[in-house]
Amino acid sequence: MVKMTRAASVTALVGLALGIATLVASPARAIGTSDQAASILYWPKVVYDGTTDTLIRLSNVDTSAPTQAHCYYIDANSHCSNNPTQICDPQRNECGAGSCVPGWMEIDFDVVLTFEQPLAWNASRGIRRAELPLVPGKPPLLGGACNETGFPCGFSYPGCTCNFGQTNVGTGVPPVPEVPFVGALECIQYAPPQGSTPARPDNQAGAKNKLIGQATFLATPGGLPVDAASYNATGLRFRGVEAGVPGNELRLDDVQYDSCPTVLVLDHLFDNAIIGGGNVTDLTLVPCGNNFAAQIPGSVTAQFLVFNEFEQRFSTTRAVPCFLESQLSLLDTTNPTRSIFSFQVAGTWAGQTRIRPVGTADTGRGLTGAAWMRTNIGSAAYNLHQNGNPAFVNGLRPDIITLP
Amino acid sequence: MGTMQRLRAGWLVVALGLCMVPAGRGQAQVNTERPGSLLIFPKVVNDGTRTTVIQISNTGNSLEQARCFYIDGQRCRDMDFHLTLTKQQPTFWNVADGRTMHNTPSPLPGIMPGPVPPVPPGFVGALVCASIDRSGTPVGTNSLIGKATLYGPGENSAKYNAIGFVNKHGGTNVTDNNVDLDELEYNACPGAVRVNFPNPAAPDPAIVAAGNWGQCRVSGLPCSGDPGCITSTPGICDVGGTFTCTTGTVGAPCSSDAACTLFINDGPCLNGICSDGSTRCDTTRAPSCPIGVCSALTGSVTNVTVLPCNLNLDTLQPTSLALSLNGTDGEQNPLSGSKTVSCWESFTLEARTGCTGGPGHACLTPPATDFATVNIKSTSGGPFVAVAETFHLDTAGNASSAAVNVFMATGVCSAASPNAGQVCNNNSDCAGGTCIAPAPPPPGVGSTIRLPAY
Repeated sequence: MVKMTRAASVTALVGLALGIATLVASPARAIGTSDQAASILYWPKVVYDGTTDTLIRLSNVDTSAPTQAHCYYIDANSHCSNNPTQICDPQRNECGAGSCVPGWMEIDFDVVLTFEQPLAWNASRGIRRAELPLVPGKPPLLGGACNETGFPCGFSYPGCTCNFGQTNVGTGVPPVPEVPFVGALECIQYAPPQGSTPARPDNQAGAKNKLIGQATFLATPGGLPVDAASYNATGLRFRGVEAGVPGNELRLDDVQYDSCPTVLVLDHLFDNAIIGGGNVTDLTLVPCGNNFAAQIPGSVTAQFLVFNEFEQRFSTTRAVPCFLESQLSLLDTTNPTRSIFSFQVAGTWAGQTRIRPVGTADTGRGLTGAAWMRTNIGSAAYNLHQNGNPAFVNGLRPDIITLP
Repeated sequence: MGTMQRLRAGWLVVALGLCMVPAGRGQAQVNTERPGSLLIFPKVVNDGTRTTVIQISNTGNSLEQARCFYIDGQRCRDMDFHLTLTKQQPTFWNVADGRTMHNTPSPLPGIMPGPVPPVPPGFVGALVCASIDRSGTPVGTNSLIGKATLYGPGENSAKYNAIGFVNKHGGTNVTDNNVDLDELEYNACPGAVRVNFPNPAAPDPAIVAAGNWGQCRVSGLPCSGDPGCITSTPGICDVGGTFTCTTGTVGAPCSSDAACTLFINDGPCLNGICSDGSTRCDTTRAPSCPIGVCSALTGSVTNVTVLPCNLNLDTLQPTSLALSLNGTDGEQNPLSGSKTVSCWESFTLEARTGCTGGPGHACLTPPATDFATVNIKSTSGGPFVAVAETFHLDTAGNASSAAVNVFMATGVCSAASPNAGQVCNNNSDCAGGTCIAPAPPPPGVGSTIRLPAY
């Protein structure tokens, strides 16, 4: 009898352990993605300087329904304190007697996408209404009508291209507000308006995780030759309705939306290693949380842990006040040859840098980013790897996006 | 509570625990941003004009061993080697040189990850690396990440992340040399992939914006450098990205003017844009642009590289795939095409009249807008992994490419849905039906990478 009871208990424990182990063993619990559709997309780096333009691509993966994205350009240009119209680089002394003051300004707009529609625009230009692919009258909008004949799809010839009456009306993409421009783009999936119900983010509505995005930097320095580099937008998926969260607040806590990871991993070549004619890597980081209602940008501290091929480690720390872009070997010093990210110091070609975001801001502590490797023979952009899910305990706050 | 009741309760808890297994299945798809125990680099090239630099890092705090296989995509052969990475160690090598004691400088600084052989000249194919233990059995430490950088042709570089597969149970359920991609042992391969691509028949928008979209036919200068092309007269052959005749046998490939033997000097509609630069046109529908002197010579070509997930590295039996391509352009015009792949293939998305397909090409309905999207799914041969690379061409014939990881979808809608057969991400895409992974697999019988005996 005792044995049988113990057997039952052991069986129960084994069962529980199996279940728990299964859950624990699932390492990709809920952190962001750059290869699957999501509800919040980040393009950490958007640039336009007259020579390099960014082609933004945004697509709806829904096979039948339209979707809407509410997007924010984040203008991260710095300006001179003694001449607010002059754009400056904080890493250079460009303001004479003044100082270079980091800036943060957001501009929001809407994009309405029909089912499975890819849409693209240059940051320098945006999309004008006349350029929208689908507007009333172009092609005929007769709810399920053939593009070619205008007749209902069911009565048409076999080559009929059926238009289901969805349009891009409501879309207006402005050009970036300044030239040169450097900053980020963030888009949040909204459920389109229905009747008297206005468009609203996914934290209240149904159709979820339908957006994918890409950015391509296209440079034509001096006219020729062209140089192209692409990365995928980083996405956070909607997970479910969370009780008690205000309608204008998006919580990146693995309950309402995916969280931003504990660690970003940058697999890189050390700056000035002689590969591809010499290379440097630019790193761009943006906080996952922003308060667009109160115009308070996210603010995070990034801790960098750098490993070379001898398993030796170095570290440094930088603040990320809304946006950080820097050549790796300028992150920790103004002399790139003395940087822990330089080949001269690290002593090996390849490096792995683990970036751990920390902070206590109301907007949270998470970061997302992208990298851009530049060589003498062209450039290549890429997404960072990520690792770990934050545990929101002991006062650790999730990232929060607050909408106006 | 009686003994039997306790036993029943115990088994109930077992059942509950096991029920958690499928519950977690949807949360851990194959990915390109998190560490895994199996890495696949679908595109590795050393063909004389291009080479590839591989980066692999151990993100864990334990020694990591991996067994890697170069897969020659043309001959369907493989070549294996071992890597050993200490904790957090990054490493790299150029596939043309490998990583040996004979590199320059010799040896390369850093802890030697083990001799990595170079691939032969002319190599095009893939690289697969699996974490193993000392006995050579695949294990699941889920610590590897990787990147590949393609250098060339000319002044060009492009980068993508290796596709990572997470071992689901720390390797405890792997008992043989087979790496089962079935969501029970490792992540399953994606049900379909989605590629966004610029219309290959349209000029590249960034180059157009920079004023370098055309070349005067006689002077050879960019139109922006020879305003009005005053020294030019109409030419004959469209030497754009696809090198096709724009008159005569419209769409026929040509390498020189002589190939377009039926040329009539009234067709300045080139490569989808009228020669005055003001009007977009299609060579098959709008042959009546105003006569001009500047022909469009820029464009974008997108290349997709595919590797089946069913890989028999033991017997080297090639896997054949039948791929279905379906998508839309910006005006929701449907695009479709098909493609067969044996072992491995890198093919260009062609969207032009006269496309005949064949090795290296996949024909699609021409899009009507500058950008389009295509879903690629396997209809036989099981699932696959892919990476995309878009080449942007300027007026001087220079090409710059950008590689990206393709987006991955869960599967296709079941027959019960009005959207049956369409690519889906979850059940909400399949009203009345469900979103299912492509056949195979029945549960637990997904695609498999069979490794040779250790």
